[in-house]
Amino acid sequence: MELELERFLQQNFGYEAFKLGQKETITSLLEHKDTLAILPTGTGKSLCYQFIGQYLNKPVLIVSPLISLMQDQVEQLRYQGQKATVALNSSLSYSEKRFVLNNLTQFKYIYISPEMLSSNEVLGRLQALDLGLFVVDEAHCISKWGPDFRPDYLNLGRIRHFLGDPLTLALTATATENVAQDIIKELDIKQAELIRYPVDRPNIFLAVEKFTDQAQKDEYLFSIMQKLHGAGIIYFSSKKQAEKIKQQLIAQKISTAVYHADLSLTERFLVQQQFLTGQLDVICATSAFGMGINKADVRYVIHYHMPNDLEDYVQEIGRCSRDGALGVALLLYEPQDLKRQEFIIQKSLPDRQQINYFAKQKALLENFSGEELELLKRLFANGYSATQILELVQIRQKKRTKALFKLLEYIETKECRRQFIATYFKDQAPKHRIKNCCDRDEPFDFSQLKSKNHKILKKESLKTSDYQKILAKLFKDYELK
Amino acid sequence: MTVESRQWLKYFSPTQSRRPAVLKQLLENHLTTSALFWGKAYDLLEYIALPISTANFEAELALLCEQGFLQKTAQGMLLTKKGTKVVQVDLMNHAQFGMPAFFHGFDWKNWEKMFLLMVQVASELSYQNSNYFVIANDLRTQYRFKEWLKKYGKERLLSEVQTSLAEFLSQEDPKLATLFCEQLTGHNQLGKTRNQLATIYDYSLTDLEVLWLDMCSRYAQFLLTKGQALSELVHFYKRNSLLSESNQKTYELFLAQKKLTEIAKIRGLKLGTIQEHLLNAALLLADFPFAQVLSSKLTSELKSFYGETPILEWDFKTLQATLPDISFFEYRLYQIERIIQDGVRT
Repeated sequence: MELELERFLQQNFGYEAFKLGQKETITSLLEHKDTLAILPTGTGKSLCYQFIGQYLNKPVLIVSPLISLMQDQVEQLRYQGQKATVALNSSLSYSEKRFVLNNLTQFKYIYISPEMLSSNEVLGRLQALDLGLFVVDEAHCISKWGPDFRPDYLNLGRIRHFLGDPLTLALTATATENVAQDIIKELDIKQAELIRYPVDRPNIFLAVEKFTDQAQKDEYLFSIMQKLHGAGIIYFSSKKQAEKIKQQLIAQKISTAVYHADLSLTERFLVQQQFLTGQLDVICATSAFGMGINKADVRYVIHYHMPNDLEDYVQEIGRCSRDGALGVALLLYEPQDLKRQEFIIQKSLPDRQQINYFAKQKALLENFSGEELELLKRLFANGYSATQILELVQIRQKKRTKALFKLLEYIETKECRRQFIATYFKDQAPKHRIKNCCDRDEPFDFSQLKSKNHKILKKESLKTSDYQKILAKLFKDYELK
Repeated sequence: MTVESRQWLKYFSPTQSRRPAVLKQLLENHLTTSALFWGKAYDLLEYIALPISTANFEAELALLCEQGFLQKTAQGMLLTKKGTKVVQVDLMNHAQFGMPAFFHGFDWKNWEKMFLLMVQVASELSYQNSNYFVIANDLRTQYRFKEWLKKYGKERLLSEVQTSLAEFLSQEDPKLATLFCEQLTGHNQLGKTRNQLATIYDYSLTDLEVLWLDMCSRYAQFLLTKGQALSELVHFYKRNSLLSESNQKTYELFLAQKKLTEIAKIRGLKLGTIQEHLLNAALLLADFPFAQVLSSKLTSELKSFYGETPILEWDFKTLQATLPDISFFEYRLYQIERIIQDGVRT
């Protein structure tokens, strides 16, 4: 069996061997066991369900919380030759949705947003399929107590029953024990096999630098950017600041681009592909960037602003050095960052006034957008009363603030950062290493990073014949005039 | 796209003070009869749905007033002498839309996706590669394109894309053609974003955006004129008529010699709405049959009543005192006819 699985992997996916946790997950599913797999970022979680889809030659339904992530995964699969892949979410127009629903049996991999699953028509169509696997991606969103709670995820247990209790795989990169129990309970997969691998990525050096103000932080960033070579991601909470730092890095002749929600889809595609193909060294990004990005040689992930919690932090630094070579995760902190993040958390949740106002005029919500009101919409749609929402918001506010302060503890710790993270996720704490572990003993030696020098950005002048040359490159047999 | 504040000035005039409100409505494609009337009077209709963001319109105009380029009046804003000088310089030094009127009834956002997709697919085809990330990931564009490909085939795509691009670009300034081509994606070649081009070639982002949108739209027009198979793809995104669907229905019944009251009944609309539809048609179309509403007797009565009075100073109430049976619809239609014939002196 083992050999057969490996041969199948090689023939269908082109990989020589499975990554951490993949084989165990696949084997468990092939033994018809519902499975909760908590696998660290960068271990190729999506391959687990792609493998099952191919192996059983049956359709796979994947519930995924983010449209951008869905789209990336659809493109990845199509690129790998799986053209029968589709994403059913709110970005589809009415006619597109009709087209997909009318042709649902033609698709092998169906990605779907949890909101879309609340439609009876969609459910009816899905019920007619002989599903090989029901996948809940980013399953931690199901936990009411988790920071990423999505109310529609709570319906997934019921929907699973409606679909005839298909074989189920719940996937996440980060779940504490409580969250894991919530997932099993809400999905009603009591006999589920739990596969958990520690979140630790031993090849990533963990470091934090603290500053008194932003100017000092900027100065440090620009100085280390001269030492850091190769591909890297710098994460920001603010689009404006990402733009500003990008400009300054370009002035230092480092090939840099921004990636955030204001970019058009085409620009996002181009920036992402330029980065993946090594044409760009640095991406100044908001958290919109990275899901589904599979670039093995990202050597550094810098957080210019602190993220919301350790879960997000571990996810984001997980994009570093997936090829196993040494990489560095560096968090830059100054006191204003905490206030900024507290404000962001507060803004992401509806306040008492909004809850009471829209509880009386729910239809009005359709005219508004914003993260907090989107959440409110979904809560109302799922039958929550104003009182219940208020209670939930208060709990979430506390949870999120607590999670933020846990991250602050990580920033302040004098102990081994790797052990700190392991303890938080209740993993067995790894031994602190003297070399290339974290900055407890000494700062990171940037010269150790195995990466090519930054590409130098050149200013150019336009030449009149250039467009002909571009056309000649675009079209193989184009005749230059 | 957003523009730098100063670039708003070219849409203003030293004499036509209502321009701010009219311009905003036209850019936002909010085509009320009143906006269309003043747009016609001020010769602004070619800017309908031009892809310029009005998100900061008021704030930017306020800034231009503060800087002395515009001056507030009771009815709106006027271009000052200082502003006029800036416009003259900017028109020389910044990219302009060559065919702004094409954007009216043109879904340029989706055309842009289709255009990039067809170039990418043609390029990959020329290298016989079918394994690549597709630039346009929305289903509708992909579906429409696949249907076209099924109908016309790969060879036709490659040949038409290559030859039409080469021919279209040969008529352009070669440097601008290069900036345009730098943004195309194909086999082993990723387009550059406008931000990147701005950095490499020292162009302003606004100029690059205008250049790209202008050339994208003119290439679409070029394909329509050529009438080859690719023009079918443009037809998905360019409306045939300048009128909205409802206005068009009314206009067709009018051309079929139906009476206005009859049209209102057929369409289940109020007479006033039907009149507005026809005024819109008179304002937007080149060949509106004015004589079908305005008899030669009424036309000559109106002509003698207003004499040499500038058209925009006409007053309906005074007219009514002399011609009590005239409707506002007839008055406005005559006014439009005169604007078309004589232009407006301000």
